[in-house]
Amino acid sequence: MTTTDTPETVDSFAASGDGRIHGLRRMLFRKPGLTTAAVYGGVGIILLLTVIGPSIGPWLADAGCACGWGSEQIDSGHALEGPSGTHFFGTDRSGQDVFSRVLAAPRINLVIALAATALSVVIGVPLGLLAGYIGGRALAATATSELIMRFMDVLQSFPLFVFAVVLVAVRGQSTEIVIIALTIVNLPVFARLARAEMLTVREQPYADAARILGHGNFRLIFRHLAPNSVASSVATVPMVIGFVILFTASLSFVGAGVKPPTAELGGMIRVGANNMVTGEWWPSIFPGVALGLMVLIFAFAAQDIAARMRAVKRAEGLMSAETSVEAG
Amino acid sequence: MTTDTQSPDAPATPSTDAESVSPGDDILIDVRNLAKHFKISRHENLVAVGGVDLTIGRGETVGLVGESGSGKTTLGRVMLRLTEPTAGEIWYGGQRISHMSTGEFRKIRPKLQMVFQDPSNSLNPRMTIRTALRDAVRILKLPRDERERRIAEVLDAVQVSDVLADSHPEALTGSQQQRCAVARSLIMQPDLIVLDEAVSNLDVGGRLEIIELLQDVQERFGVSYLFISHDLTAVRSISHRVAVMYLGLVVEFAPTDTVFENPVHPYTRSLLSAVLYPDPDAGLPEYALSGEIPSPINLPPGCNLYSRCPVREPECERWEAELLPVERSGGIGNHGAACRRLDDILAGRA
Repeated sequence: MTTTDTPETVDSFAASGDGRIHGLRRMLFRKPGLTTAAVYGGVGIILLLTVIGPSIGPWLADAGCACGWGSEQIDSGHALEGPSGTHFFGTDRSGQDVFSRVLAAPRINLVIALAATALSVVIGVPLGLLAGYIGGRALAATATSELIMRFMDVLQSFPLFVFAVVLVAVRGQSTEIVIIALTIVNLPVFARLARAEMLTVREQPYADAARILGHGNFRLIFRHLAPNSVASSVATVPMVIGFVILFTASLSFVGAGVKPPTAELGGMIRVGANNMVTGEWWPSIFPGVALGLMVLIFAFAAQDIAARMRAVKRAEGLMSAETSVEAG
Repeated sequence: MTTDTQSPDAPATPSTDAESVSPGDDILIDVRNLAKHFKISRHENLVAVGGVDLTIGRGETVGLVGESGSGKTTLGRVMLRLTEPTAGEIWYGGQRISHMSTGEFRKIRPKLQMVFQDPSNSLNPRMTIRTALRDAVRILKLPRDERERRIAEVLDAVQVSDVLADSHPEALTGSQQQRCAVARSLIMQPDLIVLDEAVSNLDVGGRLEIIELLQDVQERFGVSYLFISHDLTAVRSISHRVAVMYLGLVVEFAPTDTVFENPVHPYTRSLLSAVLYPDPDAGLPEYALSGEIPSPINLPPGCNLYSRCPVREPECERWEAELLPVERSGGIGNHGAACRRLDDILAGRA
């Protein structure tokens, strides 16, 4: 390669370029504070429980611990027992160990949340990108864009909970149907975010530059515009995961979610809710706290990601302004 | 849609006269009565470009100057069909590209490139410079070795080091970014590059650096430029000919020295007299136009400058502006101006 390393270019790069890029990286991957560490530690624990949660009880039993119970195992004759050395979180009205079930429940909640969110992203983001790219151009293209977005309006205009309950009632109660219902519920969120960003990005000079080089629409969208149009969607994913976990629990609470006896936080709260008035609080409170913590952890993670993205964007903005007004 | 490939007819105005093209006689781009209107509402049209005739020769730089909102950028974009024209024709190398289908035009597209005003936003932030160049040259469907050779060649031409080439745009200064944008255009081996305010966002040093680079590239590759700028000094230093635009029309078109030393159109005179010199005693412009620039929405017929012109006559209000050859009036030659009072101006009566 025959490039010219003039002293001027090398010097100016050393003075500005290298420092800038490292500044951005530092901002994006900065050393986490205590709160951030706690949030991502929490995410790590949830993920770990998703993998090994249902096996912890049986492992403890195998190790000879009296506290080791399977998540669907019944300790007959010990229904509605309070927290003790044998049952850390007590037992529910069927005699199932609440502690083992709380450890096992994140698996189904998180699997549903991840699957539904992933499907919403995979379907919603491309639809939004397409609607944003073709909107306001030729008549047919604009009509297609409008059709997509009005369809999203229709989806959003339904009361979400009623919509999901009706879908489960019509199609039957299964994990797959819950995932489909939650996917449909979240489609408009990602479609709208992707469309809004695409509308901005498609007007950027680098989009015109790619167009003028001779790129076709397909390459223009997927190589140049889409990677610059998904930041908001990415930042929203943890928030939606938290929302879907809560929504799944709500569906299970009204009996339209995951079928018992599978350990699921909403279902566990429902089972224990009847006993609250008679003073047996533990079958509901422990899964309730676990559910609250899970949702909060994902909400904080979403907030942290959004804050980092904002900081990077602000830094880029400052740099670009500095670049543009070099004359000072 | 048919594609005409015969030679363009003889032009009707001085601006399209082959003899007026410098430095060579070979016309690369011939724009005829090109117009772009934007529909604002059912009854309102914004006339961004109102029927422009313009030629650019091979290896020539044509400067395009005028106030903000005069239609310079739109004209550049329409010439490259980045925005589709409302009317008129664009001829390139004997082909009428304005009427080509998108598929046909895509084959020609690499030969007509553009460099944008804001260098920080004209490079994809997610691509390193080298990736962006690879992405561009991929369109030409060349063998891999040839692609890499061409990337090295343009990086060398615009003096971008390997370290810079492997950086993202955010790590570069404005003039480095603009050099990379020029490299991206250059890699397509274009015949024409539209430089849309390509030096306006740069500091004085960066401006000089890019202008020298552009001149060097032109000498080396024989590329033509349409140099759109507010900066009259930059335009004078790089252009062979200069077109002055006002409200969507070219009001004067002539060799650079002629425009700067002997302008005849009232608008050109006011534009040149508005240049500020670094001399506190120089005073304010002596040939200033009165009033505000009219709205380009639903422009009335007649001379666009009528409401502000210091030498207007009642007949000017109905006069359809067209470029008149200045030599016909005993003037300088290779020079056109769109003023009904051209004879009076040249005779010193206006």
